[in-house]
Amino acid sequence: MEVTLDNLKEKEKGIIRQIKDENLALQMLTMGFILGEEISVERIAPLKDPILITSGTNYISIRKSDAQKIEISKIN
Amino acid sequence: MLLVGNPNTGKSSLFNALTGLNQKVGNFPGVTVDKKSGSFSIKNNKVKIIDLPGTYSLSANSEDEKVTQEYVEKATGDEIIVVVADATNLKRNLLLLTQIIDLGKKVVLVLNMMDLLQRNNHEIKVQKLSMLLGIPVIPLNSRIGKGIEELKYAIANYQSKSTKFIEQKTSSNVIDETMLRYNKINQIVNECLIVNGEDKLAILTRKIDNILTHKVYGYLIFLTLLFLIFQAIFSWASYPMELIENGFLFLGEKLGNALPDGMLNDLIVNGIIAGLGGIVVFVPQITMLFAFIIILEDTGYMARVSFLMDRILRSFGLNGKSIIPLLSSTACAVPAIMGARTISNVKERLITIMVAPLISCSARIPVYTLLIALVIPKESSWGIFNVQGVLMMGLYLIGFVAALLSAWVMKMLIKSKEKSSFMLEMPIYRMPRWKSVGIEIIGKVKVFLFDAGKIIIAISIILWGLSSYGPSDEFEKIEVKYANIEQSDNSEELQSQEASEKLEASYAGIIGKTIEPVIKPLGFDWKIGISLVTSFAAREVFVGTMATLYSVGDEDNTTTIRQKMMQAKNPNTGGKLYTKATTYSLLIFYAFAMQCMATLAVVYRETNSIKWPIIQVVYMGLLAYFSSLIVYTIFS
Repeated sequence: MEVTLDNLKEKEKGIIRQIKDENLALQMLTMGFILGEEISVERIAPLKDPILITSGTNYISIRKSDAQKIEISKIN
Repeated sequence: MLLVGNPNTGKSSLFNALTGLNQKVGNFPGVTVDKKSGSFSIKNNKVKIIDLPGTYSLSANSEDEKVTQEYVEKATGDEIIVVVADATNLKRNLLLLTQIIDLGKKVVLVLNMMDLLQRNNHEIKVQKLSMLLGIPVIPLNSRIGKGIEELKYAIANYQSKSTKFIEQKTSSNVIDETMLRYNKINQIVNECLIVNGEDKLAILTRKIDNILTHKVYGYLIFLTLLFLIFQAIFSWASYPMELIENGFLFLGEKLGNALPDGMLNDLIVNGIIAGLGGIVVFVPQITMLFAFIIILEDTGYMARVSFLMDRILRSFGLNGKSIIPLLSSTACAVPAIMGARTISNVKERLITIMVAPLISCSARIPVYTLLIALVIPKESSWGIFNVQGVLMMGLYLIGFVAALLSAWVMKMLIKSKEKSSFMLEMPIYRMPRWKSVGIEIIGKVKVFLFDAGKIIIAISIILWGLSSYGPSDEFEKIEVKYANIEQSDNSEELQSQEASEKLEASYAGIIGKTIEPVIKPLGFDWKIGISLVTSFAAREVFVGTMATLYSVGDEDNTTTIRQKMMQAKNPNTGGKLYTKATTYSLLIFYAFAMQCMATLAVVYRETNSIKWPIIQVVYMGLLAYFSSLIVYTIFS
């Protein structure tokens, strides 16, 4: 199912498909979040924003507004 | 040699291990990015080393990354670039390395945190990796210093058969190029990294995060930790502080007696020694607070606090990362403002800098303590709470709330199109690297002592001049008057009376009297006026000024100062001068007013503009004035 990353709940997974914002895409890439690889939402902050995400050994926080630009296909 | 690497790879601890205390913290020219440089020796040859800001790639985004990019690109044939990589996160760390290899530079790869890799039961085939990359690869455990000698050897006998990692850029698109690199890196990692079982440390980290970022426990743990830290600072730091205070008094006395009487004696004892003492006395508190903050950062906890606070702070125009400068401000705004450099968004960084001085710093404590004791007896309590303590906490809280509200107003006023983000790596939890922590603390305290110290000393000398000199005829009259009396009676009391009259006649006294009409609505008289002026060196000078004004010979004896202030009469009403209204009003004034030249100087340097320190003085001054006015009106 194609959704944006902000739609995932805690512990849900997906594959990174496309990041519309080129700067964000490059930044994610350099932080180890690679197109075609698995991404999961590890934790959502108590106030629903930001979120902690992982891909492989990479573990970072990003804001909801950025997560909305990351398109993924959800893995059930 | 240049040291580069991703953030959180232990790059700084390697730098500290190589150089020890043989290092300098400065600025890269033109930008406000920390520049750490140092040196170490290999077989009697001195090697210079620069620690470049941590970056994920050479496709520069922030100011920090641009600096790294520039230095790497300009590296000459003699310079070796040491890339520090986190062995537990090889793939991402190799990206930066391959970019540097393709610039045709001399590169050594250091695989740091091998101990963590081994604990995970994972393994890296170092020789194979070295062969595939065509550069020397040194496994290192900078926590126990293993591998340092090997690294030095590799630098001294540099050899490489490095070829291009990827062929000439096939496309101009950075994203495509990065994907190409990752594809090749993937092949290498698959050949060199042996993974046995799961990543235990990562799993442990997630488990800890389930508690530390929990919606209830997360905040609770953070608040408890804060409470404990402050408790520790205030109770532990008081002993060394007393020692330092007495030490400087002793030194001043000895020097005062040893040197011939006169202007120079007075300048040294009351200007320089007193000024120095006023700075050094805060070192214990500042050291402790920074120790706690640096330890929390080194263990990885600060990243989680930032994560928890981002949403709240964002509503006020700040960033999750602002929490570190804001906390540091409770020690001293000067290093705190420099710490705001980690915030990449210009507007958020600026707002953090502008509001940080509203948070009550160490220098306000002596002022608060003296003033609170004037109106609240030590014994009074509300249930189990001591009222003096509650009031003190209230002042801290007011400072914090004022900082947030001011930030919110600035958020509305400052226009910016720059995108704000909060992309922050969550490092795995680990024990602090104590040696490195120690070196970091020394660095921060140095900043306070030298950056703030210089200015405080300079202002102390100026203020000493203003309060020791006045229009000469007035001064002579006082001297003649007392010279006559002293022939018959040379008591200490008389001397301090003379000092008090001289201060009144001095330039500082004239300033105090000139501003009296302005501060009268706040319940202040000209004596308080003088203190407001002298407080510009450092707020705690208030106490010393009060001692002189009320002719208290022994400056160290705050009980006497308090008693004298309590007896002070208001000449108009005949009642007490320090009523609740005046005292509360003065407390609020000290909580909000920008009375610190050192902070202003550092704001000027960090913002690179005279505009922001001026705005800061004006807005904090207005805030202090009107808040005091309101408080005075309510209580009188």
